Amino acid sequence: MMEERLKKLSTSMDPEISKVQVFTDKDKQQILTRIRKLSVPQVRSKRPRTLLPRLLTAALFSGIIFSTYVYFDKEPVPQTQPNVQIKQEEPPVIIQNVSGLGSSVEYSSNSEQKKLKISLLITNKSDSPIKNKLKYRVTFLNSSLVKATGSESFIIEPPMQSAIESGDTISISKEIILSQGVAKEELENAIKIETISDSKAFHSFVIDSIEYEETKQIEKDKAEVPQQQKEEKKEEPVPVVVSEGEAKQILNRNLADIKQTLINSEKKNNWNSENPATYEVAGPDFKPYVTERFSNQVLKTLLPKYFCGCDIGFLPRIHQEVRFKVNGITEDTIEFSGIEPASDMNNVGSQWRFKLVKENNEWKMDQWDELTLQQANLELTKEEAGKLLSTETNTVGFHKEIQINGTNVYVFTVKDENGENIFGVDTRNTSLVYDIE
Amino acid sequence: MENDNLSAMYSKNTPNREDAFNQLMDMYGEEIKRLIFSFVKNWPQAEDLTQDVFVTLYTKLETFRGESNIRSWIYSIAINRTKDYLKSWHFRKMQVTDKFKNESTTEKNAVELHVISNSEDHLLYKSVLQLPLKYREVILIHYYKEFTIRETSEFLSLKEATVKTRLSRARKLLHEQFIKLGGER
Repeated sequence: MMEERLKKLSTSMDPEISKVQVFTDKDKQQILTRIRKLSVPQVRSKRPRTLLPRLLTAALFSGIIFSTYVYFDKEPVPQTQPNVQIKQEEPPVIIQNVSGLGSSVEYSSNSEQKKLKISLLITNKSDSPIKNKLKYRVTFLNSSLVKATGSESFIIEPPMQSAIESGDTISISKEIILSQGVAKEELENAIKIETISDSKAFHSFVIDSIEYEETKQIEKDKAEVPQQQKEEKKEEPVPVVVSEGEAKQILNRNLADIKQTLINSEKKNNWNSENPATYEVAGPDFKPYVTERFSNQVLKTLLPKYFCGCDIGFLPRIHQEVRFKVNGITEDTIEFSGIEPASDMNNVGSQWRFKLVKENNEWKMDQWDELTLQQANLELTKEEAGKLLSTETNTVGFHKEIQINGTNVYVFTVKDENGENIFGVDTRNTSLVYDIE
Repeated sequence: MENDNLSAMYSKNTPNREDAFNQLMDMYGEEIKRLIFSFVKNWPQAEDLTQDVFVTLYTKLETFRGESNIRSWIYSIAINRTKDYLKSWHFRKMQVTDKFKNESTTEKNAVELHVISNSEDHLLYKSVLQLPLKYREVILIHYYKEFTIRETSEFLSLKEATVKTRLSRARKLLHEQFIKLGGER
């Protein structure tokens, strides 16, 4: 029956839509006016220049600039990035199953060098072995030490680790070259150690045993074994490891630098869809921010297509508060992962992975990879989905959870200057759901 | 036949380019605007989108090679442009606002244009417009605009089997909605 009714739809629908003509001379005049404004030349180049992609590109770039997501190009100034600051230090969960009893700090100085040696003695006080890989976050609690070391905190990650049996004690030591001297009293109760497993601190203590060595002793030692010390120095890496918060700022700064270099290159060389960038010309400008590997693997293919004006977002837009993680920090590498939520231009989110490496004391982008979230199941929480929807100019409230084709969708009310609206976020992949029943 | 003539007129460097474009607007403006309205259910937006479609059409005139039916080509531009809009943030905001307020834009516009009747045609029309987009679009293209399943699949970049499945599901949903609104079984 419905099939029969539908067969008449071609004739029955028009009178229902409107009994009068809907496309009028006014429409025609408006179209012709818009065309005249375009100033489309009668004879064109081989490559068609269409209005729509340009409008969309303009909208895209406006969106990037004014986006209410906290994009990386707004990140570098620490004072304006409370989200990064808030997330970087989680309160430790104190479980007394290890002890740092016997740990000490040794300060030595001579006319050439000032050193701090931190020696940790970690004892497993629990009844079972500790099999997880442990790291130790060292935090300096006074400003003189922060100034002398150049960092508020760093992480010691022993390269080889076997399980710590019940009752066993392991020792770890680290030496730091200081940029200026510190007084003995400035070392007292000034170095906090947190034992970390799986990114969670589960024990912390403050070192109270201090050895403060005189300059003469150091000079004597140096005179006795000059060659040996020289070799040891060569093996010692600069042991300053950044905190997670600092790492995120470094990434954001690097991404902002890459983007700014693209913008500068576009202005300098007049890159556009008909004059695509060449790696040979544009590539060298990126040297301060990327490694050679990144340059070869990413820039060589990115640069010729980046200035196409074709509505594609080539650069990562990592949401700063949802699933933005530092996966590993060493003295010369930092690895991250983050998500780029779905947008109007591409209603499927992406997962990004980044690797920064330190070259000549500068952090550089070494690798980035983007994976679609189409087949993913992020299992977003309500809070996370709400953060993805929230912007600087609206307030988001959870409305309800619904299922569409077996998929959980969080529905939110969003209040902004235009009133109150309702949106859905697919919990699997951040997609915005617009056919809410 | 008609298409062949038009194809000849739209060829590059033709002196009748403007005339040909005017003819295109005369021939297809009305049906394109109605189709767009049936997608977006809002006259001001239908008007803007129809303008977009014809401006795009003008800028792409010389790319038309005559390999496809001119009507299909125009519809392809219209459907793509309209779907882009329907995916947009702006549309979703409008759409959900209307839903939130429990006030259908379709109904508002319908009231403005003519007196609502409870005829079977009107109930069917209301039922079609209440379908979710993915079902509505196949109904509109296949039944309202009488394109074949193959053409519908090409417009929507779907497999023919998917179009058939969606049509089947759409008919069921339509029937349920039609009965719900007071239509006869």
